[in-house]
Amino acid sequence: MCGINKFLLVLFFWLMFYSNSFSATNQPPKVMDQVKALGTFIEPSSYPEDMIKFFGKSCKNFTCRAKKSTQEMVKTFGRKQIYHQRHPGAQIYALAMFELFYLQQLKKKQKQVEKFVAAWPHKKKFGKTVVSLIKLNKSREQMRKAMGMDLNTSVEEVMERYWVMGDFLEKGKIEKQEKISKDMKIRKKLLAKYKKAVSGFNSTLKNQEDEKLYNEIQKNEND
Amino acid sequence: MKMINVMHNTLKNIKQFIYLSLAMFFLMSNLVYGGDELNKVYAEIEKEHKNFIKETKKIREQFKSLTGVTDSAEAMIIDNAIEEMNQVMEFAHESFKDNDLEMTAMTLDYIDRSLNDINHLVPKEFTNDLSVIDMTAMPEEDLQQIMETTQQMQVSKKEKLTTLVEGMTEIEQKGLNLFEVSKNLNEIGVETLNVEDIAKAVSEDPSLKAGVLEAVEKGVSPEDFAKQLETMAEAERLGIAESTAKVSEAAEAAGLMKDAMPTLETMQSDFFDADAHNAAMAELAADIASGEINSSISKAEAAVPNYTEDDRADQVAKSKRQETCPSCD
Repeated sequence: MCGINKFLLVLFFWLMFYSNSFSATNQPPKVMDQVKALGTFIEPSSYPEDMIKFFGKSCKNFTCRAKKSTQEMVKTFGRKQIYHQRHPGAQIYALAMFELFYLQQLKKKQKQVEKFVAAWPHKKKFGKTVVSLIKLNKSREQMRKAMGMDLNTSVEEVMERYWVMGDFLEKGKIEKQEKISKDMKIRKKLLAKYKKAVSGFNSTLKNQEDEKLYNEIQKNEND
Repeated sequence: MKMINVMHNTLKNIKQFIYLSLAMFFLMSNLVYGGDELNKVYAEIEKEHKNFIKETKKIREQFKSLTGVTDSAEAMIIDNAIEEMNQVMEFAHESFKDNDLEMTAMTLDYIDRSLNDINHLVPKEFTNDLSVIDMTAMPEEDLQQIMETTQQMQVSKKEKLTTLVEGMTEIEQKGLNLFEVSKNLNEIGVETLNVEDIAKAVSEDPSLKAGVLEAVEKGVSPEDFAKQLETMAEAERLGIAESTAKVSEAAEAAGLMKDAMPTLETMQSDFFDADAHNAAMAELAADIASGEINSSISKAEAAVPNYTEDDRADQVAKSKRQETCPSCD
């Protein structure tokens, strides 16, 4: 009887630490929270009026609209600062387009996400795909947050709000100022570099929890 | 019989030792596994920190080489402000060396904010005058959305400021008085965190206010502290928790809302005060130009190229597949 008790005691310890080793490393609930936050693909039921004009008459289905939006968004993000000073609404319009880009990615990778969910945590399938979507979703969340919205706000409303704000900024009067002196140009460049370095390293520090999560999802991937 | 008892006890001890070892084995393997993950992340951060030191050192040296060779007043202000910020950067590095990553991040938040304010000294090649917009001609629904968005932006701006001031108070307890640094920056000519801003952040939190006052007192002279207390009390009395004093005065005169954004009725009325409107719009434009939106956009920009490259690779692969087997995809 005593032997059985001791066996049970060891079994208890073993089970306790075995289950702990799972929760400390894999953390399925946290990963699953992030995956849930990705949402599921649902085609937007409406678009801002001017956005439809931008798509053109021949571009009516979601794939075409997302493709056109992505192209425009990449072009806008790639523009120099001076362009954005002259077209202050462009970046905000690009944020509306980013929403479609995200939805397109979600649509394209939905099956991979489903396979990941089905296999997790025993097998890691399509971890890289899931991580890239999570990163993209976090960017989407931050952009929405900056404009007072969150992931619960519908895509239609988000696009509408971005577009209205973009229109508002575009309605202002752009005025050319005096030319910037050479002295200031040098300092402007250095300040931009300095700020980039500071915010970059700060993000690294703040995102260490996320990095752990990404490592965990991608570690020993089976795909 | 005595021998049997001794043997029995010895075996009992060995058994207990085995059970204990087994338990320890499972515990240790668990710890090692978790530790490995942590080490990997910290090694990565360590590497990033080395690059960060190298890069910022180079930038600071470049700034130093510029000092004293310009006639521009703004350029001189920038040079002096960067010089003032050097001590803060050193503190951030020291905190990192002490493994206090939270303190490092808080200090970097302050540096980030200050660099942003220093950057405002650089003139823009183009400005956007939003005061020319005819609000009466705008659809009511759009106005409502703009107002809601700007209000939300004000809320998140205030939250960010409160977090920053909390961080500054904690940093002061570790030996660096950022309230003093801010005061020096303002004296140099940089429009950065001032008493009014701090009043905004602490007015609704008495415990934070006490901590902040204690920290401010240590960083400034008794005369300055008395003056700052007066300004702070005045700021609170006027209820400028959501806006700067100037904007608020103009706003109140024009029947604007507390956060300096006009009410819908005011925007559409014939008595709408253009100056107050300009001030509010300038603030909004500055928020958009230098606030969170821009940093969020940068993050989106950073995320997008990865995707487009992937997409491009996928597209190329798909095209090749279709060339060889048109009906496969």
